[in-house]
Amino acid sequence: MKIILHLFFFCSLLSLFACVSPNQRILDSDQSQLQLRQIQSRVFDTADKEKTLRAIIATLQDLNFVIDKADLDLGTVSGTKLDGYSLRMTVSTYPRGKQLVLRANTQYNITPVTDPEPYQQFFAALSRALFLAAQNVD
Amino acid sequence: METGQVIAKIAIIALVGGNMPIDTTQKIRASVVTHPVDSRNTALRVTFQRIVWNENNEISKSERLKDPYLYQEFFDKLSKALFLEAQSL
Repeated sequence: MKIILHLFFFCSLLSLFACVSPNQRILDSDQSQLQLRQIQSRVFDTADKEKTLRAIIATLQDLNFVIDKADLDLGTVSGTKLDGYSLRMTVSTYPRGKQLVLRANTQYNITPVTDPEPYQQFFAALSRALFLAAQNVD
Repeated sequence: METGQVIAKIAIIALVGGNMPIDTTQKIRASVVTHPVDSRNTALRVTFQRIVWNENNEISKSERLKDPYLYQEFFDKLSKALFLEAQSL
């Protein structure tokens, strides 16, 4: 009887943990914020926001994304690629002197993409579209 | 709902008694991006995707639509619409 009671107590404790953790840890990330910023950001030698945003739209379309939203004032473009999976990407731009800083964010199904490679590929394609080199953010 | 799937479902039920869900709902997503080429011309790029759900409400397909015919048809309809707009009909 005592064992059953203990087991019951253990199980209810376990279910309690299972309930609490996802809500409390929802803003956790498994990498340092700085590292993720470096992976997702690049600087381009241009101050032309509209031209850059149009290049981002065209690059996403070349990579088979469908554009969901684009906003010139905020400098953001979002798109989704569907191919048996869902890949959503948002690119935001902000000026830094005579340059533009770009940051891309990607989500594969329900998982954020933190691997550097897909971002490198995206920025390489974008560089070709802009005829400008993508530089790392210092 | 595709005829081929219905036939396949009937065949599977008859042969092995199992069930095969049929596609029932689809959502087409289209995105149109325009940009001015010069003072008289506008360039337009359209892209299509679709998400298909089966009768169990599960996503059975999510894909980009590649058929050139679809794009051709869109541009034909758009040309006609622009002509009608210009004539104020």
